[in-house]
Amino acid sequence: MIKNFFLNEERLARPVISLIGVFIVVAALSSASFALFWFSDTKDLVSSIQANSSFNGDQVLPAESIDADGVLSTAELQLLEENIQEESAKLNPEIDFDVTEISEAVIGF
Amino acid sequence: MKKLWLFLILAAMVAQGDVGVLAQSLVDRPDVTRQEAITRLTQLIDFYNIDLTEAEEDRVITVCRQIQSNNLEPLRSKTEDLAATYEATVNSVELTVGFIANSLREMSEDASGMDLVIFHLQRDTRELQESVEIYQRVLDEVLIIDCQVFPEAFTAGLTEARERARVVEADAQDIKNTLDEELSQSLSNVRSRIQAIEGRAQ
Repeated sequence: MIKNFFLNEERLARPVISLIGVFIVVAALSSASFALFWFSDTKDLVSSIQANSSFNGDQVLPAESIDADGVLSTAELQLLEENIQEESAKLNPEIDFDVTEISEAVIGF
Repeated sequence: MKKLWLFLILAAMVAQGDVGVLAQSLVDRPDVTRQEAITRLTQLIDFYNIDLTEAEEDRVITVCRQIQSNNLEPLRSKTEDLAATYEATVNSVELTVGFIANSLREMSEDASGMDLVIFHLQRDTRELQESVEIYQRVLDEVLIIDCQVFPEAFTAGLTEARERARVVEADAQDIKNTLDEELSQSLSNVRSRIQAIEGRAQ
């Protein structure tokens, strides 16, 4: 009787969901999420942002000749300004978002 | 028990996949159904007071398919590319401005001007993203409807697209102004301060 009592206690104490089962589900979900990320545009976006910046430890170095010594010189600032001007020159809102393709002229009134 | 676990794992993977694919399609292109497009564009007919004469309606019916494929479809993908270009450019500039701000802080100099530029760039980019999303949705709507059956809705959609394109252009111009005016001015101030520091050091 006493033996049966303890056996039942032991059986009741066993977890319904095993730890290894939980681990398998978590691993499967993680793999599925990673696979989705890998085949999605998000990865390309992340890659393009990384490609547009040279990441070196804690500091982002926009140009090779800029050192991360913590002191910004006028020469370094000049290079950084040129970098910004080059980037800004890529943007021409008036031309970029021109509406000729959908102007009144396309349907004639 | 093993079969149950296998079933649970497979079900979780399928569910995860469906949600992921759905989320991705929503990011790629707002989910515009034909019926929703017709309903919304029909509302715009009144808003823009579109009342086509018979000749105008015939004209739209004749050219609209061509406009959809030759003008609107390329415009839709061009807009998507441009939005990505603007975002990438702003990200790149933000990194550079962030570098300058960090350097100024390390030199115990005031970096609030640079921080403010970053804040404005982020705000401008957010606004551009929102206006581009609305613009693209309108383009999707004009693209998805049968324009020969709904010529007035098509015309209203084109009018709306023109209006939305102007908003997008204005938002893009805000980014350009922040870069060319506010940032240039802030960089000019930084240059003066650094020159003064270098002058004192010599």
